[in-house]
Amino acid sequence: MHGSKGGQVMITDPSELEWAIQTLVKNYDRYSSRGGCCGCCCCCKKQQRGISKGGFQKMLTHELNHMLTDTKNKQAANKLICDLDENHDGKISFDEYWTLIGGIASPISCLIRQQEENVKFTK
Amino acid sequence: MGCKCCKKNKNSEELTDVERAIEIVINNFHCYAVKGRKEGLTPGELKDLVGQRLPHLAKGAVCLDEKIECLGDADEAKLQFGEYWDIMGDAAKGCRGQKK
Repeated sequence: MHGSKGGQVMITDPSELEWAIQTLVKNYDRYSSRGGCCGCCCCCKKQQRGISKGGFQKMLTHELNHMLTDTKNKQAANKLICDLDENHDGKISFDEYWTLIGGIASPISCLIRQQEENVKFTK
Repeated sequence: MGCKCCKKNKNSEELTDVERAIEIVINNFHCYAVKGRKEGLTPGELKDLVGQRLPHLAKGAVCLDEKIECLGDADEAKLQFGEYWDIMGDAAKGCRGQKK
């Protein structure tokens, strides 16, 4: 695991946070390049690509199965997919993908903060 | 900075890369949201975060600093997780651009 300690930054290696962002970008590319595309970056330039709704659902079950075990989060995810119905372009663009993952991350972020507060109180 | 970004969850080995990535992004938010009420980052804290944690990606996304400056007073304004996430999205787009 890459990481920067105490604010000192390794210039050669990507930081942990950079690894995380790149992983999310790669994940988008992996699911958006399915179906006819050879998977290389050059195709994506020529054609506006996105993740199909089915592909997004597949991604949620394959890549986010632990995070979505919590019912509350599952509801949030279902709502996100419902919201996609209103957007009739049928494909999830990178922006939309990012917003959706953010929608999943945000409640988790709140939970973590609450947990940290609780830990503080019990100390 | 006494931060515990790298702390491991009990079940972190079972997590997928995507889940671990989301966890890291969330943990970084909480690492830097230390002033006052902790549910938000100040633009100043966000700037530190971008400078220290995104040394490579910040270069790709040229307007990141300007964007942060538009978010309000460096020490007063509080950015919610969603706004932080948007900035990370800009960094991500910068890194997509680099790949081409």
